[in-house]
Amino acid sequence: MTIKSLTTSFGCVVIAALMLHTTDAHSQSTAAEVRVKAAIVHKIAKFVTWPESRFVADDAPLRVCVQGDAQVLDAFLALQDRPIRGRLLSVNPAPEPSTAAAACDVLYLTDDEHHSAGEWLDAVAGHPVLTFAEAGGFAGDGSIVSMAIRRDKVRFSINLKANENSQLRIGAQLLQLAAAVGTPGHAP
Amino acid sequence: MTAETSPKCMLLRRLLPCVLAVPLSMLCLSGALAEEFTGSDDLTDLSLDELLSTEITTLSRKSESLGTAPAAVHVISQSDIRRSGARSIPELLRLVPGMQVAQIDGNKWAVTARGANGRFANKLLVLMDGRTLYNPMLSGVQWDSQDTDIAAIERIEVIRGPGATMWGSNAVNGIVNIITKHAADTTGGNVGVSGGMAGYETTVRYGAEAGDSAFRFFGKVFDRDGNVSMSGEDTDDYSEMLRFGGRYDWDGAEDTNFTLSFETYTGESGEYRISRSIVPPYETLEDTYTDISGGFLMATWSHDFSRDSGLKINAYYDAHERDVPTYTEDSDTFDLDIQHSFSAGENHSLIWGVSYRKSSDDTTDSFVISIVPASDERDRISAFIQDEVRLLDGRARLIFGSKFEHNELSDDDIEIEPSARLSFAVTDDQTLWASVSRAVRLPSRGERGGRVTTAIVPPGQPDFPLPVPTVVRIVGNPDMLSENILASEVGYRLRNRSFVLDAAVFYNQFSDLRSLSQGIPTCAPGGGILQLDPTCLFTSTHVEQPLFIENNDSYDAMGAELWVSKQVRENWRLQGGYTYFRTTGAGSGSMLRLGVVEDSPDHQLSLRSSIDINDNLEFDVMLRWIDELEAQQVDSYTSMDLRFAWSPTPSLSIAAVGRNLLAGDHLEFKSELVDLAPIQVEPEGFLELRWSF
Repeated sequence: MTIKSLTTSFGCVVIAALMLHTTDAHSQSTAAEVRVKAAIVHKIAKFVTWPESRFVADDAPLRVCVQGDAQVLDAFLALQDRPIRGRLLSVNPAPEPSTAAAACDVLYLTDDEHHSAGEWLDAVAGHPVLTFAEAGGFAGDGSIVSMAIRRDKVRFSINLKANENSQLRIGAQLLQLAAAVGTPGHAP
Repeated sequence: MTAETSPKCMLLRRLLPCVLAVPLSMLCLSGALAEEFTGSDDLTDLSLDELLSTEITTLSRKSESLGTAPAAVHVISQSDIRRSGARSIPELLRLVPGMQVAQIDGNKWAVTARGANGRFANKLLVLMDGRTLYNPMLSGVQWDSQDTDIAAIERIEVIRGPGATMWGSNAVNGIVNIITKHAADTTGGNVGVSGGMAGYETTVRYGAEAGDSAFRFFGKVFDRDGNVSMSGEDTDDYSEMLRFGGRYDWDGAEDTNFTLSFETYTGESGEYRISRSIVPPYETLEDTYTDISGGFLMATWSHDFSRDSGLKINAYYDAHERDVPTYTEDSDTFDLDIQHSFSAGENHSLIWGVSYRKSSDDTTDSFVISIVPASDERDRISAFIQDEVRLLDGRARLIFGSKFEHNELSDDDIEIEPSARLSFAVTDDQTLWASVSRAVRLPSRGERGGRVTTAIVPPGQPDFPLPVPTVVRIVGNPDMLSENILASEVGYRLRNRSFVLDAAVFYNQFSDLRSLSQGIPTCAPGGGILQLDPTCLFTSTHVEQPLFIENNDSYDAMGAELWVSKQVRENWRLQGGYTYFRTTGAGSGSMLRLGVVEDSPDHQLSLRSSIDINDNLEFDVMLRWIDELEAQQVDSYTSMDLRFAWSPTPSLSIAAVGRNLLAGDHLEFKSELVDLAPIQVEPEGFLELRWSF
């Protein structure tokens, strides 16, 4: 086999390859993306300690409130009854902001034109509620954990400032896995 | 070819025409790595590390349960890296089941998989972000110059067995791909300081992100002490290195990414060298050092046309310089690599690529080592294509393809390196796989044109009764051919919520292997043939005994690798590994039979325990038992690494690390070039402080 025949056969490959190109763009938020994010929320929650006073009983569930469309809620329902530190997860759609602080231990917010994520975050500020939102979304960096897609993979950042008054303890191991740990308004 | 091997050859022969004639396809094995984690439908079975490395588009394309990678693949995750307490890449590779890693002295290592280990282990290809770390001068990776900011490594993917179809020559027994973090994943400041019984190390990093762009810079400096000689005296095999580097990432709209990275380093590797001369005392031991410097600049551009197709262009320039007391080397490499992946229909994922590499070098010689010609410049042109076919509704997949490579280091016109890999998902969490592949190991510059003095026999020895000293030299062969491997592998993988079992067995047939043949002794200077005219001794200062490099050896290597990982409790993980390796049929000129040479242990055992005592305390233990090296006459040993880490605040961690414990001062490996005196590795302990801001 000579270099020339090699070059020729690769020329053919180039043409074949270019002809086979499809041009559909990546869809915005796929089911797969939400599934991965839900699984990550579960893993992150394992590294967080809530104050004991938060729970009425030793076996009281850890309440995960999800604000998002049916696809998002579906993905989170896969977490239903999963154990975390001796408690089972209970997944529910997020209630009104005014009751969220009392009803949710974990609050997952997606960007949605009908709701203001900032309103939720304000409502639960100072309460032991672990908040998740899209990085750069309506919630901005106001949530404790923000998630983003970069190069096709999910990345999360932790905002220690947002966690300051929440009484939540975040395990050091988790901070090691975060893409960034920082405070809002300041490039971490 | 024996009767026993013919079915494999038949398969290969049948496969070859297909690969050559039809521009078919594949999903690359590296894609397969990202996918490895998606074998189970239930994502909550995956660890956080695994979830963070799951590629979403890959997942959505093949969201149904799919067989996992049809290769012996292992991934060192970020947690593995942190919890290991390792400060160098070879130490990290000890975490991989099946890898054979031995420390030669304070800065030199022998690292490979599946046999023929050595300081110049030439059958393992190592890449960092796609840039080759393999040195074509004497073959192998010179680990004393290969390093980076360890905390900025995202993961290390290791494939045991040939990877030549995608990565080309020298990916014979395995391929290691070190992948560093995206710059946006290392924003903020990070300072790591460690110090202890055997030196100190400081790494400072700063990164920031603005809009679509992110960058980081790091500086690293270390100074590690030497170890001890066989008689227990301190030796000067120290290591000091200053390294500076950076990375810039831009993630543009429409799935276009651009990365620019660079590193530059300078340092010294001390060594306890055997110094040779033709005057008494002929051989002496002395503390010397090698000056090392180098760097690289690399740019990568990639664009995804759609969920299933993308183009990636990677170019780099790499330069390094080594000043050994007996030899200097100045090398430059330019490499351009283009890869394109796309889908054809429902069931085919193809990837193909072309690459060009220009290498040049300049050496100076001495009595001990010389390379002819002293300067060289050569091109390498290669292309590959691989198709991944989805079969049985996704339960099985077939990956096949070939590399075609033209390299001026090999006399063969074109090297063809095909492979076929098949995996089958027996159940949702069990996979069986098998593969057949061919790969080549190119001759090194040293093997083609080198003259290396490996011994000086003093006059008047009982079995060498000459009045003058005899100089034993390995003499290179300008017509040396590539070494060949035909590898067959079978593997089984079980992966569920709390248990992973990964087993592989392999049978490798090597041919055209490097061998040595004893030449006719001559008088020097003068060149008279000793046996014909012994009187030439009266006018000579010494006798030259050449050992000619040839391609006359062949042997079969076989082995088994087993790894189990059990999540005993939510906060406690146990991992165990066993590796078996043996060779049969090595010829009389075989490097395996020539005293101090490349060598691998028959058995290796490892046990690793990782416990999270609470949110802020981590405790890790790793135990290794390494069998004796028969040819090298190195005893078996058991050694232990420990790490206890405490994070008093989220941004601060303090770790106490112990390395090479239990075994005391022990010999792990001897340099096969017989240029260094054997060194015993010492146990050590150090404290590490890491602060992020």
